[in-house]
Amino acid sequence: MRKRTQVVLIDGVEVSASDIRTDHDVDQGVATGAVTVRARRPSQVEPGAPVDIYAGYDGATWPIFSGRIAEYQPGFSRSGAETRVELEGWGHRLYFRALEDRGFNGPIQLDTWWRSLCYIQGVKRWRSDTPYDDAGAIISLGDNADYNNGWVPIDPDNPGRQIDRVVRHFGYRSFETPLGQRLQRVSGLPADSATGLLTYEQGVNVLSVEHPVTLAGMVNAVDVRGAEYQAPDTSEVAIRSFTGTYTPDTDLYGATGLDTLKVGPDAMLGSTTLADAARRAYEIDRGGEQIRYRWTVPGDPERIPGEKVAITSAIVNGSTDTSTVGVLIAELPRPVWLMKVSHILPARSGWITTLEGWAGTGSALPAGDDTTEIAILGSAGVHLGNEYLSHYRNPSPNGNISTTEDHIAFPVPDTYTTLTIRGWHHGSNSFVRNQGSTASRFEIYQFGTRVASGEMPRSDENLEQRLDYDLDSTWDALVVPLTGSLDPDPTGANTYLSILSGEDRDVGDYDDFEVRNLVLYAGGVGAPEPLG
Amino acid sequence: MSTRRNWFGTTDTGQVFFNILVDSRDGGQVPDWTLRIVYEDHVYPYADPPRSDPEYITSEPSTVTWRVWLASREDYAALRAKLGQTDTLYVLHNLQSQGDTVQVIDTLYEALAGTTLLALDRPAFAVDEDNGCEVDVTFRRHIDPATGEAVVS
Repeated sequence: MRKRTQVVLIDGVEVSASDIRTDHDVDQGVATGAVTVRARRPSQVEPGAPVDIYAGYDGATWPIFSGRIAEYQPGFSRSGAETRVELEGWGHRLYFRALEDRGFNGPIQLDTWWRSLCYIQGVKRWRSDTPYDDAGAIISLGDNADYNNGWVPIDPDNPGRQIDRVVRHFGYRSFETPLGQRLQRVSGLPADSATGLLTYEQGVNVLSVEHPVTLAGMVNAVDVRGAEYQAPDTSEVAIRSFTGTYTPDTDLYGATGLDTLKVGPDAMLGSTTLADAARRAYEIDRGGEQIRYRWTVPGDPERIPGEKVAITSAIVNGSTDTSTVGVLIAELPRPVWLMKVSHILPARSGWITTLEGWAGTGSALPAGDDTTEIAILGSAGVHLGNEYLSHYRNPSPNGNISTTEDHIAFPVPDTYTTLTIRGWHHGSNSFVRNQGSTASRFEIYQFGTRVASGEMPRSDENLEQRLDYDLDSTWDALVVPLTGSLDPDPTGANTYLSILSGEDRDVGDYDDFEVRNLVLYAGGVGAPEPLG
Repeated sequence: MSTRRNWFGTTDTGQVFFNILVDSRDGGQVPDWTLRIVYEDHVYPYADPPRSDPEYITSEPSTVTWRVWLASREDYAALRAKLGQTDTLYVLHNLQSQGDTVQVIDTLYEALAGTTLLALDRPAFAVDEDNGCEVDVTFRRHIDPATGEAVVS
């Protein structure tokens, strides 16, 4: 029987919390969540306080939320006194007002524009893909020098809403995951087949499935209107892209046989190239029946929105057609984008994860993932802390700076703004985090300055069991998103990862843990663009 | 009835002494603490063969109910005043399964720290000069089943 592990840190202090809910949605730029703590509330529960939630099973945890307290509401009734704490993810910073009259000189790649806005607005962590249109060309804003000299302004009232609107034109979404803000294509088919995708299957790993099939949102023509301006030769130009040919369908759309999706006018679509790219993306996603699924599974902390998965269920996909073709259709796994990941961890019942999937039409388009893997630490691993533990792979703590700190140099081929360390660990942060304690963590230094950092999730010590950590199977998987960025350092002479043991100052002890097979996943190539 | 008695409370918080009554219809046995976990069976519909994935959520607090004899109405009032209070319960050795064994003078007891007096039911008072009282007392205690140690709330 698996045992749930959940850790809620508010302002770095572990808080006893129950009834946890988190929601990450591709169609929402900001994650939301809620936890219940006692009334009277712990003193660190204040609006704006940072909140990190980790959850998993049998002592191993995974980040499922990172953000801040939006509001809290203490109350009591006959059944007790409690404080409901509402949370919002760090993506909320994109929706803050920005300074007036700011912008960028075009042409600027869509992902560079997005990353620059994340940086300017103070978003903590982000990751973007290289944005391609359906023809394989990189999408750049401000690509028409005749319009405003290619100037790409920031909407000072709400940069977040501007981002949501603009990236959707091209089949992209700006959304939040527990590992940070994400810009990713969520358009068309995620994959041409389910091969290699995590597959959810009736009777195997799903608790319930719903499959709404609807004509809502389906159109057979798209009319995109972009900027209107006076060209240097004084002619009036109105950017517009309209579906060239369409198939009339009087059954679906009435007497005209036509239903048109009207987009814009949007001054951010400053060229015919951009308007055409937008029209084609809308045609891909709105030209056919919408494929949607909603299903539940036992708590799964590793799922993040934007992932490609597949789902198969003969009951919801099939009909009474029992011919060979009918059976094939019923049992065919459908690749979908994970659109929404919601966790509910009630105090007295099971942890349920609700997943929602969607797919458009056409063929799968290139992903544009620019992530590079940089190996940092091998299978020998390192033990940090202050105790000799004979069942560890390295019984003595053996950091090369002290027993509680280890430095590992590594090369950096390019500029990266998205950093995640993956690997394996055990025993990390296996003490109750209190007011004065520090967490075991990773920090990256370049040229003597700390440029990135991230705290490790919890992995139980299991000291009584004295598990044999020579065996790989006794270790827990580790993922640590880092806040910060890296500059190029091809030789690695000036870059190192610092692995630090946390200190429990209540008892004057250090956290003993081991890590191994650490790999830095670096992406978001290129520095944020300076403001024009 | 044994003259050796059990008690709830310490010298600092005030002790209330009592005897646990054993009904011969129970074969001379004393009820012990309940131990129950909270779990959820995630059952996969349409699985053939059937599949489920049980999730352990937590262990419930334990309770025990004993019919006890209090020597006086004053003792009953003192016990009543402790309703809802958490204190240490001392029970004669080997009468139940929990607690740390301690010796008081020449007698062994189990000391059960973190025990809450939850309910007093069916009180019945003697009408003779004995002036005693019988009552069902229910105690609550939350232990970690793996270690037997009381859970600190």
